[in-house]
Formats: sequence, structure tokens, C-alpha cells
Amino acid sequence: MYGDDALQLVLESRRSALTSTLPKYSDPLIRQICLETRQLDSHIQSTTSSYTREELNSPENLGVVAGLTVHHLAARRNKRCLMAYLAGRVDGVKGMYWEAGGGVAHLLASDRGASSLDEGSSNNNNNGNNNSNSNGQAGPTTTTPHGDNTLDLRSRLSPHELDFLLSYNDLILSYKTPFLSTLDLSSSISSPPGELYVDVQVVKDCGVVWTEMGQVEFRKGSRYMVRRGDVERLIVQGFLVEV
Amino acid sequence: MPVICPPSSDLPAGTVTYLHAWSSIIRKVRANPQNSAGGVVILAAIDLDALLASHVLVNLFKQEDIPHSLIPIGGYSELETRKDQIFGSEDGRYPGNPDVHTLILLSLGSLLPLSSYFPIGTHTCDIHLIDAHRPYNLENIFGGAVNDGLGAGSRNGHLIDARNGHALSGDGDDVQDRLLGRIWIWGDGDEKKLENVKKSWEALEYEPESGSDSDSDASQSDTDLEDTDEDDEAEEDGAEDADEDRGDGEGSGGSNGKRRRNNGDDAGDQPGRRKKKRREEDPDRPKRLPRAIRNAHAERVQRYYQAGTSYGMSVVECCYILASELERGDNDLLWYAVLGLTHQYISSRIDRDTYDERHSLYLDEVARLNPPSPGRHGTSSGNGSPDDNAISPSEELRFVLFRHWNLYDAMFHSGYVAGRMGIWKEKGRKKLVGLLAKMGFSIQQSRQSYSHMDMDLKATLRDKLEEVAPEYGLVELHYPSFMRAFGYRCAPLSAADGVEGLNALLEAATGIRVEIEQDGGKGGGEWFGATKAWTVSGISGSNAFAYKEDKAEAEADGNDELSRHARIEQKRCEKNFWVSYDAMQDVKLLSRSLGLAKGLHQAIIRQGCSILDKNSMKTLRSFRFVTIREGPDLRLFSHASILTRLALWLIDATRDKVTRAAEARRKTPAHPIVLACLDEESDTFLIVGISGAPEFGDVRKNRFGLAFQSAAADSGAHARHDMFDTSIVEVRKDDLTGFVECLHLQTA
Repeated sequence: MYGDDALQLVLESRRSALTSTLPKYSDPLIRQICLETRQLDSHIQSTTSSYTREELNSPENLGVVAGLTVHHLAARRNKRCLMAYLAGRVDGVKGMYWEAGGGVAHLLASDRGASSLDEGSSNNNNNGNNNSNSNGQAGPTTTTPHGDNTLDLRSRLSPHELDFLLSYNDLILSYKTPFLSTLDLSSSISSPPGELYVDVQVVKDCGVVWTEMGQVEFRKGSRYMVRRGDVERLIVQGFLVEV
Repeated sequence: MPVICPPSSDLPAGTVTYLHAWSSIIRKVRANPQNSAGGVVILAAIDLDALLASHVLVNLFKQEDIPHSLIPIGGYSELETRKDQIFGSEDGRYPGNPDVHTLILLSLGSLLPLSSYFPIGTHTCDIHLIDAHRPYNLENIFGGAVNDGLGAGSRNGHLIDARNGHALSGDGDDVQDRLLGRIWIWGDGDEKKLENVKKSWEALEYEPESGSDSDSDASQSDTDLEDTDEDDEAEEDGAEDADEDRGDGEGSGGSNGKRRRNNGDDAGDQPGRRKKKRREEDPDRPKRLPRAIRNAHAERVQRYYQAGTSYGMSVVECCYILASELERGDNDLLWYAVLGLTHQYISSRIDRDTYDERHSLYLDEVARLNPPSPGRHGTSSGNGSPDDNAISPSEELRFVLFRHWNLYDAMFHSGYVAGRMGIWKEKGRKKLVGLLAKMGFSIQQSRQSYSHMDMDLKATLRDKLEEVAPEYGLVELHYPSFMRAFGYRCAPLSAADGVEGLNALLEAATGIRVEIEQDGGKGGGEWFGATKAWTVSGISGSNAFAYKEDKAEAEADGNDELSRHARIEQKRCEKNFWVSYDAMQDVKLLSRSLGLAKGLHQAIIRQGCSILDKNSMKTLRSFRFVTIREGPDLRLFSHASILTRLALWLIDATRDKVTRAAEARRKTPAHPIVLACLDEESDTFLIVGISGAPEFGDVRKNRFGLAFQSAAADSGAHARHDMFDTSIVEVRKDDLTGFVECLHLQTA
């Protein structure tokens, strides 16, 4: 049926929004949809070319017009689905960018790009990815249950998305640089800091950290009370967890 | 190395107290703001006392906005690595962290010779020792402090710098620019009773010096004669002190001598971990003690160590005293301190008299912080206001978690009732039902969960028990304790409930499978008594991430089977520590943990009953010995704290029986018990020794610590003493027989 693939794409997008994950860019599915749309287009073209305008307006050819309309709507729907998918992806990328506090290099390199968003719902996440894999990628992919999570963000993005991310970063950087000394626009505002100090638990060893107030050695399995500003980045990047 | 005492109004002026130690910490932080971020490190042993205390301390630090880190420590090997990480290791594996300026040891390290164990000679780090374990390593409390606040002569707080014995006068104000670290021992005031031991120790350590001021010593020793020693061995003391007098006389004659401290060495080796010998000989006035006196001194020091391990004031109480002195004691902190005290009492670490004494102090504190308001009724009725977080005094029955269980089970699982009734036999169980029947509690009602029991029965429970229970030999059914209300978040918890819950979390929050009854399971009759495995799923959001299993990681860097096992165990303990740490603030989790506590109690009863049923307890001359090699809960009991609880239950349960049996045969009853449990994974036996007391509510010093050590040495058994509690040891499976034989000879 026309639009089935597009529906899958939308479902996938919806799933990733619900689980706040960013699965791999489903290139095959998108190509398939584009192909379908092109087929619809050629179909419409050939039909319209075989009739004149008057013929189409006449009441006996009402069926043909209806068919054309259906094809046209299907094509438009495909387009909208594709746009929605891409918009969802872009939103996701932006969200992750802000989540990571503007650290693009860190975001792209680590596989935490996805898992930092999904701590609360790791189960859903796995299911979602499984489904998306089996639905979306018809190819002989032998992905593990964690398939998408183990990939780093760079390989989960399409080249265009990557370009977008980098230029988005450039924009933000050029915007925030002039007043970076007084205010870091890219720091998180989801929960405004209530206190100067913060209690953190170390979940990943991150070695010695030099701060304004001297060095701290974060070792796994301990809790520290440190200045929020000093470790903001580490919390965002997932080395520390606020308690 | 000052031993500091709890502040109180009747101390002589200039005594160094907790407040001084605290202000020295603050000063260190404030003085070097540029390296304060990692400056304060708290090392907390993984036990309930340290858990509570760390909470109190962290609270205080937070109020002062002092950055700090809190590190749970499972055992000596862990401590060793942490030490290396802070001070740098010799093999250069860890560079060390020069920024650490204050190290606080909670509930660990009293047996370590701190001044040599931690390289404070080359590091500016102050070390604060807060530990309830006794005995101290004498070097810690007396070393380098000939003239400090404890000395009879100068009470105005002369402090001795640990590294070279320079006396620094004043009460600590002018020592800010000290370059090297110092050790503070947070005592509980009982150190003053050790005056005699101190003299002996000093005589052994600073031989020439003790002669140099022999005049004052001689006059002192007269008064010492009357002092009783710690061990109540008064007559021996007399003889000894007489020797000493003579010795001092001869000594001041001053024959030149270089005899080394052979006897001192013997004494010194006993606590196991003494390495450094300090000897500062004064070339001007050399002098030697005659052998007899040396021996007498050595013997006294020896006796101090050999008296066995016991417990002083709980660590959390130290911290609470500090907090309340700083005017920062609030209900939360007070509650932790109460929990600490209750824990010490119900795990038989302190006797009833001590408990009563401390309890009365807390009564005042509770009254001070919880003024009676007209709106509040009795908290037990549970109709307080939503924000009612008050602590109120109460009488606690010796039934396990009875407010959260049903009456029958609560009585059934209590060690006290078990001992008096012989609960492991059919007859005993009948007796228990009979008791309930006599009180007018139907079986149905007493199996009903307590909150759903008839109101009038609950109201009369205490009176009825007092009336009927003595017929069954249950005379000490309650003790004074406290209750805390938690608003509408949770039913009020008694201190004992809180301790049970936190303890259960600390022991088994993760890593062990424990079946717990589902709420209301029994209410629907036997058929519906469903159980499920315990999980800590209550932890929400980001915290869950921190608790994720990371076994793979432990496996990755562990090639050796035993060390891998140890590492997993250590990770588990660490995780449990944090879970219980969170539970202290999260009442939901705490109230959920009561289910886990019940599960543990059931396992303990199961195992205990089967031990008693099968008569698998061997009575040796001075102790009783049980090996657990099989059973459904074997894995549970391969954890030291749970095994200790089983041992305590067994002691409670069999106390009367043993006494009676011994009386019949006119022997001294053997109350101490040694439990060995097979740990299948590491192929070792975990051995716990507990010295029970002949009376309920009494406590004896635990002598198994030293006995285990020498037994391991004599039998050549592969033993691992990693726990901070010395009376716990791991022995390789094949070495158990030899170990126990040697232990038998040792203690006979």
C-alpha cells in the first residue's frame, strides 16, 4: 500500500522521541520511500499526458481524476513523512547538542551520546531499537540488542545531519563567544543551580581534575562534594552523577 | 598526637576537645583556598556506625561549604590502595595527591599504628581517627604525646608534633603554619582509665626519658597503686606497681645500658600491625630498667591487648556530640545518633548499663529538640501532622520489627524469645502459641499483620505481656528506646526498626538473592503467602545508573580467581553502602527495606533452627563450634555481617541451655561461639568468633581476634584478615581443621 514505508518511518521517529534516543539514520527506508514517490510521480505524469485537459474535466473520466488525486496525495504524504522524520532527527540532534553542553567533539566521539539520554528508560530503548532494526533495515543486519547504542553518534548520523550539527555548533559558538567570559549560554538551564556546591557520585573513573580550587581525584565508587562550576561539564558528559 | 575528648562543661580549661579538632580542619580548609577542592577525605568503613557517622559529618561539612569526598572502605587491602592513592605508593603506581590535607577515618584504624602506617612525616596531611573499636594501638593514643592533654602534669594542652616530639604549647592556635601532618584521636573519654597502661607503655617506649623525671613518676606511682587496671586484676596490679616503685628507685641510680626493648617487641607484635619502633634515647641521661620491671610493664601492655576487642562510644555519637556542640544538632542528626546507639545495643556491642547511661543523655537531647506541642498526640497512634518528623521516647519490645510484621512472626524471630522458649523445637513453638493464647490473642489475630490487628489488642499488648510473659521466663521484654515519625510518608519507625532496615540494606541490598514476603501475603491465608526476590528498584532516575551492575569490569582486570572474587565482593559492599546511604534520606526506600530485613531474619532463623535441630554444634572446651557447609542460604552466610548476626542469634537462643547444662556438670559454661561458613565461590571458610556473655544484655570482650591470628600462624593456614573487625577471618577450605585445632589449643 502506498505510504506504508512512510508510516514506518514516522513510527520510528515517534519511538525515538518517546525513548529519547537517536537510532541510526535509516537510509534504506528513506531511499525506498523516495523511490516510491518517484514511481507515483511517473505514474501521474504518464496518466496526465495521455489525457487532455478537457477530457479530464468531463464527467465520464471522473474515475481517472480520483485515481490521480489519490496518487498525488500519497506522494505528498510521503514527502511530509520524510520531512517530519528529518525534523525529528534534527530536533534530536539539537537536543543532544544542548544536553552535552555544546561539546561537539565529546558528543561525536563517545557512544554516550545516545545513552546519556536514555538512562531512565533503558528497557524501552532496547526494544525500540530492536523494532526499528527489524522494521526499518530490511537488509541482513546482525545487530545485537544494543546495536545502536554501541555505535557512536558520528556513525548514527547521516552526512547531512553531521554537517548540520557542525555548522549549528559554529553558529552558536560565534554567537556566544563575545560574552563567554561572563555567561556560558550553552550550560544547562533545565534545573537552575540552587547551590554553589553539588554532591556527585563517580560512575566512571576520570582521573585527576584540576579546578580553580586545586586538584580533585575522582575515583569510581566515591562521593564528592565539589563546586558545581568545576564539574558541570563532567556531570553533563556522564562521568559524574548528581545525587 | 592529641587524644581529644568529647566537650563537656566540667572539663578543665585547656583540654583539647572535638571542637579544637573541628576548628583545625576548618582552618586548614580556609587557609589554603586554592587547594581546598580535594582537601578533605573521609574514609568510612562499611558498617552501620560509619555509615551513620559519615552522614553526620557530611552534613556538617555541607553547612560549612567545605568540599570533601567520602570513600567507603571494605577492608585493609582496600585501605592500602586508597592510602597509596592519597600518599603515593613506593612502586610509583600512584603519584599521590598532595592536596589532601585532612583525612578522617571513620570506624577503622584504631589498631593501626597510624603515625607509621600513613607517611605523615613527608606529607602535610592531618589524620583524624574516630573509631569505636577497642583496643587502640597504644602508639596512637600515647605515642609522641608525653606531655599532652592527658598527662597528669600538664593539662593545659601541650601538643606534641608527631614527627619529632617538639612540644608546641598553646591550645592549637599557633600551629597553623605547621608543615607536617598530625594525628588526632577522637576519644570517648575512657582513655583516662588507661593511665596505668600508659605508664607501662611509655616506660617501654621511652626508656631513658621515664627515668629523667623519676621524681614525679615516683610520686605518681603511689597513686597509681590504688588505681585499678582496666582488667580488674587488682591483686596482680599491686605486685606490679610495687615492682615499679623499686624499679624507679634503682633506675634513677642510672646504670648505663643499651638493652633493647626485647619485651617491648613482644608486646608490640601482638596487635599485629605494628611496624615502627620509636626510640628516642637521650645520650645525656641514659638509664635502663631492670628486667623484672620491664617484664611487668610489658605484661601490662600485653594484657591490654589481650583483653580482647570491645566497643567504645559509637562513631556517630562522636560526630553528633560535635554537631550539637557546634549548635547544629537537628532531629535528623540526632536520629542517626540514636540509631547508632541502638545498633550497638541490639548487636550486643555494649551492655545494658552503658546503653541506659547513653540513652538517658539522648532523652535530654530528644526533649530539647522536640518540645511537646499541644497539637501532637502520641506518635504511635500515627495521627501526627504531615510534617511531623519528631522523635519521641518509647518502650521498645524485643520482638523483631513487630510493628511491620505480625506478632507471631515478630516473636518467633526474636533471639531473646527463641532462647527462652526453645523456639526451634515443636514444643517451643507450642509454648509460644500458648503464651499468645493466655494473653487472649487468637492465632488469627497474631498472624494478622500488626497494623491490621484489633485496636484493643494492640492497646493492651504491653500490659498483657507484662502479666503473662514472666510465666514463660520472658522478663526483660522491653527496653527504653525512641520512635520517629515521618509525617505521612511512612508509619513511625522505632530506632530498632531503622537499624534493622539499614543493616539489611547494608548487607544485602544488592548482590544476594533474598526472598521477601509480599505485603499482605499472609493475610489471605497460607495459600497466598507469595514471595519474590528483593530488588532495589526504588532508586529512581539518574541514581539507578550509578548502581548498574559492573561485574564485567571487575572481571576484566582480575586474572586471579580469589582477587576477582574479593573485588566483586568489594564492589557489592560499596554499592550497598551507597544504597543505604541514600535510604537514610529516602524514607520510602527505608520502609521498603524492612521487607528485606524480614527476609534476612527468616534466613537466620531457618539456618539457626537447623543447626540446633541437627545438633551440629560441637562443644569444645572454651567455645562452641559450628560449620555450615550446606543449606539454602549458604551464599547469604558467606557474608560476614550476616554470619555475625546468626552467631548472635545462636548465642541468645542457647544462652540458658548452655548455662544449665554446664551447671549440671559443674563446669564453666562455654558461651563463646565460632561459626564457620563455606564460601563455595572462593573455596574458603568465613569464620566469625563471638564471645557471648552469660547474662542477657551483658557483653564480654571478644578475645577471638588475637586467637585467630595466632591460630592461623601456628597451623600455617592460609588466612586472610581483611576485615576491620578482627574476629572475622577467612581460611582456605583445606586448612579449616588445622586452624580450629590450633584455635582450640589457643583458647583453652
